[in-house]
Amino acid sequence: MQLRAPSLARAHVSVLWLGPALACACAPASDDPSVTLRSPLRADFSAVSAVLELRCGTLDCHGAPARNLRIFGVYGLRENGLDVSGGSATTELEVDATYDSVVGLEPEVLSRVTAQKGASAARWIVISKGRNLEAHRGGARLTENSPADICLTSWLTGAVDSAACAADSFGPVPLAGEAW
Amino acid sequence: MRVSLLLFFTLGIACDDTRRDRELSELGGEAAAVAPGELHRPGQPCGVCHGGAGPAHGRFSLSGTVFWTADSQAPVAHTVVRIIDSLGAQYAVRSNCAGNFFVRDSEFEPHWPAWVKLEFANKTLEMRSPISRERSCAGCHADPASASSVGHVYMSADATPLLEAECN
Ligand code: HEC
Ligand code: HEC
Repeated sequence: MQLRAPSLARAHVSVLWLGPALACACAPASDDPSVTLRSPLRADFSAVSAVLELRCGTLDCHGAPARNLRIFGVYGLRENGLDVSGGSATTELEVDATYDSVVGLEPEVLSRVTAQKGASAARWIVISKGRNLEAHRGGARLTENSPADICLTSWLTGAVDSAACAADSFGPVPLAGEAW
Repeated sequence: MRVSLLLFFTLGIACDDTRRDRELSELGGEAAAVAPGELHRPGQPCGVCHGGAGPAHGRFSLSGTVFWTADSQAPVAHTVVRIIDSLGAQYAVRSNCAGNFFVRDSEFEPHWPAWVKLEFANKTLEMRSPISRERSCAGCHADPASASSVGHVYMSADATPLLEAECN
């Protein structure tokens, strides 16, 4: 009795493995199911990442490990598990990790937007959520045509507007006549 | 369709409840000599209990505890905690003898995100990043510091904590 369960399980596993293997063996080479998707470049992403870190990547938002969109860096989640939040500056490996997470969201839509040099960027969830065009618990974090929004959308065109990325300032704005 | 939606909804609530129960039990009971009140549970995420879903009655829009240094558990009283929200509205509150401070939602409810800074004896310490929605400082500032936590809020390496006698 005790032997039967494991052997059944093994039979199950081999059928699972055999199925796709047979399918692959019979399929003609031209039926390769892989597709090539385009992503905006990693090389240009550092300035964009810096904007996303402060606006979206705090520990209570996309700086949390359970999120689909995960943003890594000094103000939130650390990538290597050793650095502490709020400690040393954001590393290039963290920018890599943020890039992977960002381009992994609706990759088929991102591919179309990228191929069309950033046209109708709001099709892509990162823009539509960031602008709060689509319901977003964090509200509008990247208001349309703000430097932060221009920074992110310029990355999709293939030419990052570094001036816009650098011009983005995200901090307290006291009411007129008040100090902070 | 309606049944499955209902099931989904119920499961969602069940998950939230389990998480909350776990959070609550991890916080443990009250310390022996401290009654539930403004001096209790320093360093804990007050908002878990003071967030509107009980067990505490009041609802705090922001709350936390200020310690002396990053390595010390000594509280700093009379620290001014300044808050500014995304519309520019400001509010200030003082830490008490346990280092605790709290803002009742009836007094001030920030329009997120909000920024904070601490002031004590001519020294200012500003948090650079915003708070997007977390109402307990300890939600991000829990000990120990880690890849997803900053470690407790502290005032300064050189400010002297007030002696208990000066604290009232
Ligand atoms: C969303 C997470 C989060 C919440 C909530 C939060 N903090 Fe912070 N805090 C951080 C991070 C990350 C840093 C380090 C980077 C920085 O300065 O932004 C920090 C840094 C600070 C600093 C500066 C420390 C230093 O050595 O420069 C102070 C002061 C501070 N926080 C106070 C507070 C207080 C008071 C509260 C509650 C009202 C609070 N924080 C709530 C994430 C948070
Ligand atoms: C584990 C749950 C829990 C945590 C965490 C907690 N409290 Fe409480 N608190 C209570 C309960 C229960 C009471 C008593 C019921 C009441 O009066 O609301 C209470 C009462 C209070 C009161 C008196 C009631 C009022 O509204 O004036 C204050 C002030 C208070 N707590 C502040 C804090 C602060 C500040 C923190 C964080 C440093 C904190 N509490 C953390 C559960 C908690």
